[in-house]
Amino acid sequence: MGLREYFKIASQLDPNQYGKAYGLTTMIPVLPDRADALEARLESLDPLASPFGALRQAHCVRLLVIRDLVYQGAPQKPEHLNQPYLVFTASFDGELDRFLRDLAALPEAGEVFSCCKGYAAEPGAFVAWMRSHKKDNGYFLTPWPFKTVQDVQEALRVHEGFQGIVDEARGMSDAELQDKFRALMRP
Amino acid sequence: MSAVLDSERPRGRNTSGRARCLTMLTPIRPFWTPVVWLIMRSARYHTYFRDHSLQFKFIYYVRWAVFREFSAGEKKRYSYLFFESNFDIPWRQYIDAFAYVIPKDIRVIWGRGFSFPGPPPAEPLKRWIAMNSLEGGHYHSAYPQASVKMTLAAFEAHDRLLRLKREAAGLSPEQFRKAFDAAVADLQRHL
Amino acid sequence: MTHGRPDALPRRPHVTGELDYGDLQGNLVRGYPHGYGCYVFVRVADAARGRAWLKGLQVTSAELWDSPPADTLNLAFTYGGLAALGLSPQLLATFPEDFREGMAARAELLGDHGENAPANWEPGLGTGDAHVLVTLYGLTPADLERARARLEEGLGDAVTVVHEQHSLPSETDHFGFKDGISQPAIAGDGNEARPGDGLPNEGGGWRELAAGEFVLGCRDQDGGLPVAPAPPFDKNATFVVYRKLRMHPERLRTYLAGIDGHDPRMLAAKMVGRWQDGTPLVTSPHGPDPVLAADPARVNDFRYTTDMAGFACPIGAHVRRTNPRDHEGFFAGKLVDRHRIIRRGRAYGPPLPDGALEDDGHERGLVFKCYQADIERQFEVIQSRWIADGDPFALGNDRDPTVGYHDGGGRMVIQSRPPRPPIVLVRLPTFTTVRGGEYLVRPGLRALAWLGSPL
Repeated sequence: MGLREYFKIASQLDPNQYGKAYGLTTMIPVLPDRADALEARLESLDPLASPFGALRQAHCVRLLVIRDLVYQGAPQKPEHLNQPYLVFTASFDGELDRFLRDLAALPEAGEVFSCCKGYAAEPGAFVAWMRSHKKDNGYFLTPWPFKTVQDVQEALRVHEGFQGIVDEARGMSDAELQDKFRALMRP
Repeated sequence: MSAVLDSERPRGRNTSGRARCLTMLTPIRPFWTPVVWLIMRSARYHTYFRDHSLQFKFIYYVRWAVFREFSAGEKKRYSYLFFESNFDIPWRQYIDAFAYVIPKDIRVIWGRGFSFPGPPPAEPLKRWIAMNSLEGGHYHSAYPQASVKMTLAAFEAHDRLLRLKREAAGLSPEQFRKAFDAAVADLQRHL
Repeated sequence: MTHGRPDALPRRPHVTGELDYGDLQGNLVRGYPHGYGCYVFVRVADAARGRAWLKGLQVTSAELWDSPPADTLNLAFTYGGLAALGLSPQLLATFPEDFREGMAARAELLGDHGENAPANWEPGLGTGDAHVLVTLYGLTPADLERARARLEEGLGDAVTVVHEQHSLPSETDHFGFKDGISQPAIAGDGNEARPGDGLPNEGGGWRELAAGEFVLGCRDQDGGLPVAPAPPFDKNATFVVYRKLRMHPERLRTYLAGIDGHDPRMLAAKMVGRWQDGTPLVTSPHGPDPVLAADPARVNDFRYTTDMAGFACPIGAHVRRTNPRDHEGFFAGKLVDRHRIIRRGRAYGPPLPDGALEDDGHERGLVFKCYQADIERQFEVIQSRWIADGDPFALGNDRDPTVGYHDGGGRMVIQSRPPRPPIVLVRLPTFTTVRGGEYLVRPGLRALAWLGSPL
């Protein structure tokens, strides 16, 4: 990491930010009679075709329902959760409010978050409600703090295309090679 | 939750393509809560934890958070350390890497909990993590087929090829081939 | 040829050992010198008669002998076999999940797709019918035949053969390479360790591996006892991977002959990581070194720190993948320690005549066999992460060139020191196909006696 990037990160006051990335961590009480349905719904979603993929700024999103705490054994005194919780985390680019508004607009968000206490469908109220359940991170880290999802996807596209050209380069004329490279690097 | 996590299924609830997510929520001894909080918050100002964690090149995004309460109405005896790591190798090898290469870091962060089996050795730590790993739910990654190394390689290749594009602006095909071959030689670890 | 192992490596001198040779089955810590092998998978129809049959078998232990017996016999059991022999559900449940599921059920993890998928395996393997593997070796073909006939006589009605395979002594594998050179050096196994066989020490030298990486009941590299099934399978036992690999040298020869401007023998060596005579590419990148290859103290003594860029031995070469030693990203070998295996495979089938480029209708290959305390951590990590994938080496999706499944689009980059350009091998066909396999457990002799006693 260069000096300029280091200072950018060191000067960020919001502990949830790391470069351009934001780490949202939330724990939201679930309506006790909706916990089973919520869990079943989450498990029915396809990880490779996720409705949360519509959030174009999100690198990764995790949802899970926890029913209780794990007891570590003596000398810890055992304790229990009063209610089930939805853990919703996301690592995304940019502004929190923008992300939460985009999340509010997802049809799936309505299905999932309506299982939680105090859910409000209206975007402004939803944003405030999510913010009220936000937990601050102590430390949030990524190897590419200044790369957006689109930066990653574009780099991967170019790299894959380059590999394809390399594989066939011997059999191409120089002009063909140049054309293929130009096509890859456009725009 | 099973006492011992058996082999991972290829598309588990916390897996998407190459990406996997490990989530844990473990109690912190009361006296140590402010210390853990301080260790976490100061980490952004130095490179120790960053360099140690990122040297393996298998972490996408990782976070630690100290939960003093779960919700407005629910505060417990203990504070809890929330840990979520998004990485691209089987979780047992993930633990091996930390346990065998940087065990001190693990002990510093989780050693302030209860009954924590400090590495090395790695096997008791794996059992502890299996016991605490929060399963189920749903996981999404925006680039599930790309590992961390593939992504880092793509950034390097992209930069080098952008440079080639700039240099190649006015070249003849024969000259371009030479410039292309030079880029290939530079990128041979990423072909 | 009377030896199963490469001629380059004479038997290691014996030093004081700490393992229980009387209880361990043979061929684990010291490979047998017998050249001719036979692997007989049987199905047991009835627990009582199956146990009675077992009781009548004379199993070869790991005790040293002054001169080798004419033949040897060893036993291993699949999970289905243990169940068929009447083990209680409680005892069966103490066996690890990888062993319980079996190799066929884990095909996706192992990368066994297409041609290699269990649906295409030979009869008797991967179906649940294989219960007990009887491994016979003979010093001569006649010795082996006698042993096989003795086995046949004793089978009776309740025990039927479901799959059988013979192996032949061979100086090289069917791709023309000396095989089996590198084996883990184990502390206390009674063999003098050869340089390179152990784990690399930072700053030079090698150290031996803990016996518990291969023998249940002994301490392993992590310092504890490896997770083991309940007694009597908790001591002096090991897990076995049996995998019949068909090799297609005609495909390899044809492919390499089609690459202009490069010596096929050099390209093949780059794919493997050694020259055909066993000379490591790292120590001798420009050509084989027969003197070095014949020296057991040097043929395996090399490290990758001097070749991190892969200019001598390509990063994706077979030997580099299957034992990364101190290659970058493995932290001076710390992340390799727990993934070593003992290999006892043997060649099968007649060699393809020199110069032949077509399939001659004869099958040939390697009966791959390895031993480890933990199938998932050892064999499966090598197979699923280092052979069936390239990411641990920053090679993306590229698979092992010689052993990997390529699905028509395999590729390998051969790094070259500039100004020589790297060589990119594309459209690699699959050179090695999986014909079937099983996961088994190889108990100690006391456990075998228990298995042979009435229910």
